[in-house]
Amino acid sequence: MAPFFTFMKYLIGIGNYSMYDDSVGLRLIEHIHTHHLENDSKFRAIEIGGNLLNLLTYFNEETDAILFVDAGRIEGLSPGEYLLFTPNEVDTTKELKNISTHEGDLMKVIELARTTGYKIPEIRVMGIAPLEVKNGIGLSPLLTAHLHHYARTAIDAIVQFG
Amino acid sequence: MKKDMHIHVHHVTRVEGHGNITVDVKNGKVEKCEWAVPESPRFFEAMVRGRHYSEVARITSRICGICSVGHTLASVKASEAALGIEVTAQTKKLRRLLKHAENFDSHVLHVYILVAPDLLGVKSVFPLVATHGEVVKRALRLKRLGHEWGSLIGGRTTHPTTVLPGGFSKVPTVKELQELKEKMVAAVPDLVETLNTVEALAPKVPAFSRPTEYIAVASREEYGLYDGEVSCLLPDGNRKVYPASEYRKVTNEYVVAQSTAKYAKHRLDSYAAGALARFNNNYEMLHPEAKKVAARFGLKPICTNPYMNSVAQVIEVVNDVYCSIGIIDDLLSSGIKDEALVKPTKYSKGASAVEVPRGILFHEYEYDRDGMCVAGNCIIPTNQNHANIQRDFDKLLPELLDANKSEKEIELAMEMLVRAYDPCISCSTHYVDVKFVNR
Repeated sequence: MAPFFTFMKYLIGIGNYSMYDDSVGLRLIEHIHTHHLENDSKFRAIEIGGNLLNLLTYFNEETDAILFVDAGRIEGLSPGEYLLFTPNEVDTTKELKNISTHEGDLMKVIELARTTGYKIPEIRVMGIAPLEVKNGIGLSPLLTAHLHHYARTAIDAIVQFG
Repeated sequence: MKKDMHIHVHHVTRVEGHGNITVDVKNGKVEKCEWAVPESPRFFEAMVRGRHYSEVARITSRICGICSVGHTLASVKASEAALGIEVTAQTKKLRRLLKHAENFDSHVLHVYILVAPDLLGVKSVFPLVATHGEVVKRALRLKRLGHEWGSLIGGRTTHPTTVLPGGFSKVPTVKELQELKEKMVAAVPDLVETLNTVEALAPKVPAFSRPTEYIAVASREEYGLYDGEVSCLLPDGNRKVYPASEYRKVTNEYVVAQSTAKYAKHRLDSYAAGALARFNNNYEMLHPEAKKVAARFGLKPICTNPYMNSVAQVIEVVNDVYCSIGIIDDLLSSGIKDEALVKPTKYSKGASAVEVPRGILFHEYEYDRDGMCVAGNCIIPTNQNHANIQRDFDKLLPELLDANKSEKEIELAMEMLVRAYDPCISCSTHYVDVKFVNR
């Protein structure tokens, strides 16, 4: 039976919409949709909020590549800077006792998928260093100013990737 | 021997959001036994003011990443009540199908990922990959079904895009519905194995009883999830029913010093919302296959053991699948078609009640003549359960002390009680936090 999700490449935004700069991955996807930057013959841009276990739906034979966009505390990066990396380049330092919608970590979900036999597509992560993570709808002026550039970078990366 | 005890659980794990447990026992006497919620308010009711009715559900959906379908449906229903919109029969069926998807998806996550580790004696789902690999794989398969099911009907499972005031922006095709039904039928063996797993673990569910009031949406059309009246059931079977518009007579919110979240009460000093409250109020409306599961687990209304909420969720998982197969058959036989959104006929005030996985949810809005929101109110089920959790603690702790349980056993029993309510206290953050090791 064919899966419902049959795009070969995905650009997936992760984050919490009501936690200010933590929402940058979601807002990047919104930006792509609002400005019609999605070239649907090549990839699909979606956001999944914090429901990280839903990522497993995209780990199947049909998917060639996924680029995740998430806010990230990454050593060496100042707020507003970003980095593209693969999961095997990093080790998560986030302390996590379990996985739920409120307690999640992209790296641990990928590891869970790997250990339970999922077909893992080629994965890259675009981590954007937040200026501020706090209660509140919106994005800091610093990240807002760079949002279009982030979106273009993510699109270029997913188009060339996989 | 009279003993001293101090338990402080800062941020109970495997719940959605943050809550703390504090217990102080001096010389065998309980000096403090407290369930506290330290989360800050999020002001969604203020955010919707000044927004057009077409935008409001988009905003309030963001209240919760798990119950975003429920918040969307509660929001559009309240807006439709305020705007004099009567949606079509097809819209109601599709919304019911979507509501079942959310319930299924959330319950699978809760039972397998959040509760099962307690019953299997481990701290999280991660160790279970090695010891119970097939169980974890099954959980992930079912979770995936929930995601695909919700995404097909709602555009996406988290914060659905197709649900609008007045109808749907996009409806599934006949082929897509047929495929979804096939996936549901194909999941039945996993459901059967789920029941076997739960049955094996059921003896580990603590025996505890505290009768309270059980409040849920109830209807003669369905097992109350999407629509109905507000049914308030006392332990002796006395039932009082309100229309959703009179929800404030039910919730009676008040402020307590120990919690940033409001408490609620109706005819008793607290009440319960959630799967067990739905089960107690709606047992007769369960699908026959779900009733069989209830009989297998010996669950009958009115059940007064809050730990059995997780078992009620498993019964609902079965109910969700079988009811949804029926809804799909109905949609396929009546023919699914694109429909125009139903337009407003007035601009006033309206309220709704919808069940989300954690219990009854109320939304209310008022619109001006331009269709702009001038007031909003959202009362989530977890808030309605806080007072009941505290009252459960007040009864449970002395019983555990009398049974000479150790500090660790008491801590676990209280954490498990909180988890049984499946609280969704508020959203937190999900940023990645990494250091480079291979670069």
